[in-house]
Amino acid sequence: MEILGLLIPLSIVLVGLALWFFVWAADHEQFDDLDRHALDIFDDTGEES
Amino acid sequence: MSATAIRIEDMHCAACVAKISRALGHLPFVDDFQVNPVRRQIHVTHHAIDGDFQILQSIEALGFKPTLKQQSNNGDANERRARIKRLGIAGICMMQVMMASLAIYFGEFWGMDAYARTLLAWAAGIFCLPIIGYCATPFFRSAWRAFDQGMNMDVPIALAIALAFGVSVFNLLADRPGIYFDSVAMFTFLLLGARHIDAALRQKVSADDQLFASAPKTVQRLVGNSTQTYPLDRVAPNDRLLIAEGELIPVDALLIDAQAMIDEASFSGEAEWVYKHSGERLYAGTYNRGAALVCRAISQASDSRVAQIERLADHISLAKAPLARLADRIAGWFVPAILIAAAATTLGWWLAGSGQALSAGLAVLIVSCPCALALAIPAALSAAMAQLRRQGILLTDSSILELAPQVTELCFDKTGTLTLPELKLLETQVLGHLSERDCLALAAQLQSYSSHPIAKAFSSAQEPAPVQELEFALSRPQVIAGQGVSALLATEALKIGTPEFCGLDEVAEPGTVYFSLASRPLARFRLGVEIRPDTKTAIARLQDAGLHITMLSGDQVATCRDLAASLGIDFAGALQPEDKLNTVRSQRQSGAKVMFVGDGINDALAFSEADVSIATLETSDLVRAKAGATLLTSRIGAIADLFDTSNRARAVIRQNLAWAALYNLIAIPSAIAGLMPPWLAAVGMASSSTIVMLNAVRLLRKPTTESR
Repeated sequence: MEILGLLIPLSIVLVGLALWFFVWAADHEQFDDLDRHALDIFDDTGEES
Repeated sequence: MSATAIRIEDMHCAACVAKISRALGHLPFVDDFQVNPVRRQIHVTHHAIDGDFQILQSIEALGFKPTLKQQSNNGDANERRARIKRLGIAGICMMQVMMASLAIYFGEFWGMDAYARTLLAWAAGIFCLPIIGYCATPFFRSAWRAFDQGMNMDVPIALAIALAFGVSVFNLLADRPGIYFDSVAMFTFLLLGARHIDAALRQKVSADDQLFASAPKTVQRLVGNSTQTYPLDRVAPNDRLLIAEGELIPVDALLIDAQAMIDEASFSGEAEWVYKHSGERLYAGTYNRGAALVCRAISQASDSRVAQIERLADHISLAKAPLARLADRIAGWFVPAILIAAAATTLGWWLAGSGQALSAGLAVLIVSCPCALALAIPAALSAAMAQLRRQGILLTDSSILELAPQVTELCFDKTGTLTLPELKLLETQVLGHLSERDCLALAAQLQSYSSHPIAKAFSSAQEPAPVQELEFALSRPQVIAGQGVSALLATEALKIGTPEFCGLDEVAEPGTVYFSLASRPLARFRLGVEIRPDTKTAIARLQDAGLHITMLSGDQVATCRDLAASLGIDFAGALQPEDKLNTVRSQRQSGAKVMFVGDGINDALAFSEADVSIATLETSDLVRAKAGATLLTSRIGAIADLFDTSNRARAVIRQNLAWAALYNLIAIPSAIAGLMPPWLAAVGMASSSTIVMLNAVRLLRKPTTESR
């Protein structure tokens, strides 16, 4: 059971990394528009819209 | 103290600024203000609860048209991002907390040494920190505000979260049982989820408004010698535009024609029309009162029309439905009652010497959160409004959702409401040497210089069989109000209008237009109105719903009789606007709830009398402002959809209230009796809120009975 003393702090660090990544993604507009990009494939002007 | 940004579209000059400044200076509750004439905005800080509204009213009293500045898109996006971050972090942490907590629960059965249990409890506590410190902050902040603004439903939520977390930390440090980190995490996450659905619904409604506001208006753009209909928002500097008689000049432009007559009343306040000469500047928002003119754009599209419609949509946020206020009132007495019940439960169990005292009190707090009660009505209202928007109805007054199910009498205007608003070319009789097709093409080109309703009938008459690029060299077009349009074809006068105007010896008949070249007849056109394609089915649907339908028209009785008979409805003809008002009034006095659907300035009086008033798509903005709702579609069947949706909304509200009451009746006593551990209370409370939200979302589904 002593291994838990290492594994649980380790999991806390991993979750911290996951949280940091999630916040980074949210701040970089990854969740701002969940509908539009699916339609980008139909846009043949080649411009970024 | 609150700060407000107000946009005043028609504030242009130093005099306006002085006038508005003076008026604002007289308002006792205004602390400070800045007027920005360039951006046509004022920023006001004041300390009255309904100050925004009073400021708008006092500016309106000066004759301006102020609008509360809509939250910028950017603000919405930031708010949404913060919401998603809170929900996501709460979700991730909640899973970790549950993982650790489940391990502890199972450890009770299979045996777990104290070392592992303490470690897991600490892990759960650490994973709870982001939830307490970040995700739950809106609840704490709102509860804190409640101290000066009266009870709200966030008080017991914040209390439950803080108490449960505090007790857990204390017990963790003292190495005692009674750790509720799992309840804290689950409770916060599910609550944030319910709020996210609610806020997303609301934002969807306002996003739809903006979509409507930015609906493209079109202009006539000259390419070579021919005109094309072109979206206003794509007009660029140097585009040449044809502005017909009476039409709005959509962008700042330079006049190309020799001269033009311009109405600048909206711009300078001068009622006199001004002559402009070639090369002079025409301002966006002014009207062309002379003959059709050609000009060259020097700016991007103005937003004057768009701003008008935005103003309309703003009314929604000002009005709050009585039902929604009822929800706040319920929370007002429910919350103190719950706080007392929780305290009494804890005290009672403690006096009885039970170790469960705190846990039972917490369960009462958590289980009874009045969210389900408070969400029951607003959730249904916002879902119903979003659904109506999809069906093509823009509500400017949300109380319509409550009133519509009570309506028994339905009154329609005839022209423009039951019928299409445009005149249609019904028949062409060729009198001269030109073929019907050539006559139509020539007449359409001549009429394109005018914006009279008759002229529009000609441009649409061509649409089914567009004449190939037939361009006649017409010069010196002239529009003579009440008579017709003339121009020179080569050297001969081409005229369309009344028989006298065309130089013909014919008797004028209503609905008939003559067409002549050098006083020789070319053709005779018969024009009339057409019933909307879906009027019949819509009327049938409304009658099936048990409504009594009357048609109120200003037209001659004979014309009304035919239409009313073919639709199977009652009618009254040859009515003045006051007669319409009196008809509606007498119906109301006999106890009926009346809905009035109309389109014209002659319906505005009836609008203000009716319980529910609806304007059609083609209604002018002035009249629209008086109506409670506007159709965004030319389908008159949308009215029937309005009844369906408001009936369903009423049903959903009743189900939601019944469910919330039932849930609280069962859950609160069992929590007081100590039968409910806090984690079960958290799941029960949050799922009851979620059920209420999901029930409201049902309104967004297409009804199965709908005929499209």
